[in-house]
Amino acid sequence: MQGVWPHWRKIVYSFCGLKFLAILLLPIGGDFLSWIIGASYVLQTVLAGELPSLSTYGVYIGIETVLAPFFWVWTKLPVEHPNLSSLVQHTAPAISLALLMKFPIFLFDVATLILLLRVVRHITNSEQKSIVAALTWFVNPFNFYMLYFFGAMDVIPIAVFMLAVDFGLDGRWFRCGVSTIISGLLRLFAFAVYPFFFALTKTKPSRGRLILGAVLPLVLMIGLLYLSRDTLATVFNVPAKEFWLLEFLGFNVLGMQFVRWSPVLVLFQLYVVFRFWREDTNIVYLASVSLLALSLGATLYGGESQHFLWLSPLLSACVAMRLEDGWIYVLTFFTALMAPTVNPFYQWTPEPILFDTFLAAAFYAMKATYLLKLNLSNLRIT
Amino acid sequence: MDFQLIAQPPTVANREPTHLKCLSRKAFRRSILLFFSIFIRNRNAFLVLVGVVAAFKVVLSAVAPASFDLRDIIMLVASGHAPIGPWIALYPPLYNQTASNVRRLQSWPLTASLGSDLSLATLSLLFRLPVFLFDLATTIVLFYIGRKMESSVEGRLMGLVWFLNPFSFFGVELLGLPDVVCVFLVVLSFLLLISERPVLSATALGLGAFVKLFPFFLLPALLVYMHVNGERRRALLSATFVGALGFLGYLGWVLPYGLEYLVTPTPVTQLMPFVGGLPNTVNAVTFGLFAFYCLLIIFVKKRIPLSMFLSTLLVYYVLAEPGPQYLIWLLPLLAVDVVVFADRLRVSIASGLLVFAFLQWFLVSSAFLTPSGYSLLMFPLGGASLPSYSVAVGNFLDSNLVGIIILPLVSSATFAFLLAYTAEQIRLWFSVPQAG
Repeated sequence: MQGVWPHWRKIVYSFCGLKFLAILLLPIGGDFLSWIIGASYVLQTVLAGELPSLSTYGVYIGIETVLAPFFWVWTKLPVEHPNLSSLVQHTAPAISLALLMKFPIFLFDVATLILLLRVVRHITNSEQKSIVAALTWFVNPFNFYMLYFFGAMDVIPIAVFMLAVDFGLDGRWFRCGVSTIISGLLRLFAFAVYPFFFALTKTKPSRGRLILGAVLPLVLMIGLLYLSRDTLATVFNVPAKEFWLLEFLGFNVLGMQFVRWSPVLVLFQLYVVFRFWREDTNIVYLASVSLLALSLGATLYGGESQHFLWLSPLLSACVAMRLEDGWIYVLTFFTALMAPTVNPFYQWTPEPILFDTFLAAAFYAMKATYLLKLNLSNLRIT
Repeated sequence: MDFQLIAQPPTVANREPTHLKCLSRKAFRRSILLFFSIFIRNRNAFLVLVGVVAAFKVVLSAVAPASFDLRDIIMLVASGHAPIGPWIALYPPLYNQTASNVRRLQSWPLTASLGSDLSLATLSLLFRLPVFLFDLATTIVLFYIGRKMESSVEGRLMGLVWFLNPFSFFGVELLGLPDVVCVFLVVLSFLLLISERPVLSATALGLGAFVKLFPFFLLPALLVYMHVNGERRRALLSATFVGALGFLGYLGWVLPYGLEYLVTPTPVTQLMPFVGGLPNTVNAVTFGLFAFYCLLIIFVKKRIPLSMFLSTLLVYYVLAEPGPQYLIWLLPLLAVDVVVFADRLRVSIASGLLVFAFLQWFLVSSAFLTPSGYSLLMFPLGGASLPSYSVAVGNFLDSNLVGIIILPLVSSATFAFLLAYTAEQIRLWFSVPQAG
């Protein structure tokens, strides 16, 4: 290894320091505050001796439950515990709260880094390529902004999903199914990837294990719903309350009644994979195209770049495997960072209204390009 | 012969996939054949099955309530200001247009229970029997197509895929629409085409276009096929003439009632792709069909009549999206395709398409609701005192779960399967040669 590669650990340690600095110095706000409030509600319910219900807390209940113990630790710290609405920034309570509640982000950020190293090394047998994947994840400005400025807790299900990818690479399909569905229960994205894994399960037993692995967490979840006194009707009414979930379905296709773009794209991508892809493709490419198709089809909230974080570790692995696609990777993440709903430089953008559509379109175009490129590079040569 | 190549041991890369695919295809085909084997290998068993299903269809045709489409046809005739053209020939009760008969016909769709009233049951049967005959005729033509392309066994299987399909039963007998006449003529046209009778094939398409517009879109595909097949210019001109004549006949009975019947979807017409839309905008269907025909001319160099016919209908369906019930336009050719090729993935896609389209149709038509308040499945969905299961079905159909989650997902899945199946057909232009 030459150049910066032998020093990659130093780079990672430096960025660890930088990330801790960001945790300490950045004010609590944005999505992060919503997560803290959610975790505090879940904790209150549990301390009252009840199970938090999906109909009350919505689809974020899984991640909020993961965060609740961290909030509980904060309540036990020997500092003042003001009401969250009257929290003063940069005081001891605020800094300690930020440190504890952003610690899971850092923890799962590092876990994703380690899993990326494993996954890419397993696929490519190259240490250098695995380092490229790990560094493009860990030092990526888009990820840095989304995780530590915006407070995106998506990194928790992302790490679980990367674990599923790792299990899939090892041919442990039961564990892969369990991890994928757990990740999907925390955030819906992983459900779109699950059917794509069947392209890699060549034998009936492995297919059976993948199905069984998916059934187990679903059965457990139904049991928990029953215990928390949720009914099917209240569960199915969640999208009516959290209407943005339906934005994931995307536009109407050609103005056709009820036909929405996102499921069409994901299913058509599934067809392309089963019909036209090489049989020796790998799980990273499969997961990437499924999420790219979903991200391309979803509109507004679902297609916003904050959800592009899901694709980030997968695209890091993709770019490490095919370094010649580096320019697409760079442009994709640049446009993701500049997309109107995330753009940290938005207030300094000249004529934001004028540039909104341009920046959003550029981001969509890059997603489409990446999807096309991955499909082309995996086509079966006949 | 290159002996060097033969002497070389085949590598894993070039040996295994083809070998495995052949095995899997054969095994899959065998499993389908095994399921239907009694009915498709034995001629008498086949005839008995068709006879039993036909009797079942006739009985239900007599007792099922009138669909909204049948009511609309009665209203069209009663109004006297809308085109009905050759359709009237399919409905014998409409021949007598005295005021008392028209009143009786108008009251029929509002009647819930037909079983107890013999005269209403006869009326219902008379409305549905002609289309049933075309349903049966389509089955027979499919049998001959199968026999021509493969063998009688495949012919019977094709016939059963069409005749036993709930899609065709609901779309033909119970809705009572004359689309099955065009479907029959399209299938007949295909049979004539593979029997090397292209001008007669064009005549069948022309007759189909006279009844309803969609068979006309197959004419360019037929002409391209004739050109690829090296037909003489005179045959090409004759085919164009008879096909265009059918189209002119269609315009002849629709246009006297005004242009709106060409641009507004009504029971007798469907949105014409070359008319309609906002001024100065691109009509997506026109653009799509023109582009499709150009691609057909550029790429098709092989004799693949099934794929050419099926992909044309699929592209038209994808672009115009006239509603799930109109999938019966494609169903017979789809039956031919899945039986002849019996490819596992293609059969899965075709089955997925039919299942999701049927589910979508069930949901958007409120479980096949009719003007009488009864479903075509004959359970009540309207009225004062409903049984509990009807209330449960009604509540389910009205729930947010259906409106905002299930229906978009099911409709999108239908469209995705449709796109995939279209891609499957177009893919054949470039690779697999047509069997038969």
